[in-house]
Amino acid sequence: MKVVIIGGERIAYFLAKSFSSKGYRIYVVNKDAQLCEDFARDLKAVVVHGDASKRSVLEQLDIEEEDIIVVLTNKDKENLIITQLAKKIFGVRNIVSLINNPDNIELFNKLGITAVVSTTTMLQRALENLLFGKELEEFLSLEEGKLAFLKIEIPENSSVIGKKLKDIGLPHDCVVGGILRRGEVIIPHGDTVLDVGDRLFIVAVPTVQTEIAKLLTGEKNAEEI
Amino acid sequence: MKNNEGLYLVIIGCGKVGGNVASKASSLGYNVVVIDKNEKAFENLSVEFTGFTILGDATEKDVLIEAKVEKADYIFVLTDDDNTNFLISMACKYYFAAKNVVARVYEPDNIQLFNEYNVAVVSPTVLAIDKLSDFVVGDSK
Repeated sequence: MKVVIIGGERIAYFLAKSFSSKGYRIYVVNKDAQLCEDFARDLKAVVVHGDASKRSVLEQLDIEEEDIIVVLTNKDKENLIITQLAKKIFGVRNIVSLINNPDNIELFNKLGITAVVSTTTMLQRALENLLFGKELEEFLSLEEGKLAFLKIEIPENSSVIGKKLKDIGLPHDCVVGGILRRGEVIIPHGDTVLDVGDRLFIVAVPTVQTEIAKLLTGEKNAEEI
Repeated sequence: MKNNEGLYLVIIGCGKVGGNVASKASSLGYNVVVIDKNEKAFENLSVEFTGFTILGDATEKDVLIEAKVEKADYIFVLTDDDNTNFLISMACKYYFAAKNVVARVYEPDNIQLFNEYNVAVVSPTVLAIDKLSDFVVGDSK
């Protein structure tokens, strides 16, 4: 069994380094000749210079069904055809792919590539956490992000404290499924009054996430005080 | 003659081939939408072309939505890159349940993969090889 790392620059290098130090046989494939020279010098790996979206290049790698293939180019179209060649022509079962455009995650999944990593999505999450602080946490995203489960903590001086759930004007496309208050679980209804420190568990479509976060964590505005 | 009124054809990649087929289909009564990411490419359409053009990258889902590929009777995927054509063909089939997807495939090695996913293939390489082989075989007789 070997690990074949296709495309990528620094990520490919560090992955190869880390796996070769654990004793795996590593093959690295890259289109960039200079990069291949550097890899050959610095890594304990078989380095192949070529375009892995070409079947003839893949054929040079003696790929076996139990190999692990990691696809890291910065173009989804390359990643897609490489993963499909590996799967359909070479019968490889364990394939991991980087995905650049989050819209393509579902497509890769439908074509049998379920181990996918989308850096765009990861950065998006990290940014959202920065934007909304620790109060909003998307803790689960289902069906490729069509449905989000959110956890939001009501901060001090939030404008919704002391109000009934039905009166705060939550958007239609969400449901508050549960509230954790001082360790106790409350299944809320419209008349439930919100308190500081409440943790709300919300099921929502992703487009209303921002609105919900603003509503629940927003401070009282001047006219309300 | 076949009645083409109301048939909907989406052509992705408006080069010499795409532009010509689009113009012909349009003159035969098809509703045609042509997508290309390069505005100049639309110069390959004839003056009689009455369909629509979309300037955009068809590897992006939004562009395929705009082109209403789910309603297309035929989709011809004709960019000059096999990998691009594969991604677009797969998106058409799996996101939009498109039935008749035909892709141009230059590399004969790739034909099997397109066929595995029920994408019909037109390969200029294979066509040229076959045609030329006819001459060679013809001469040897």
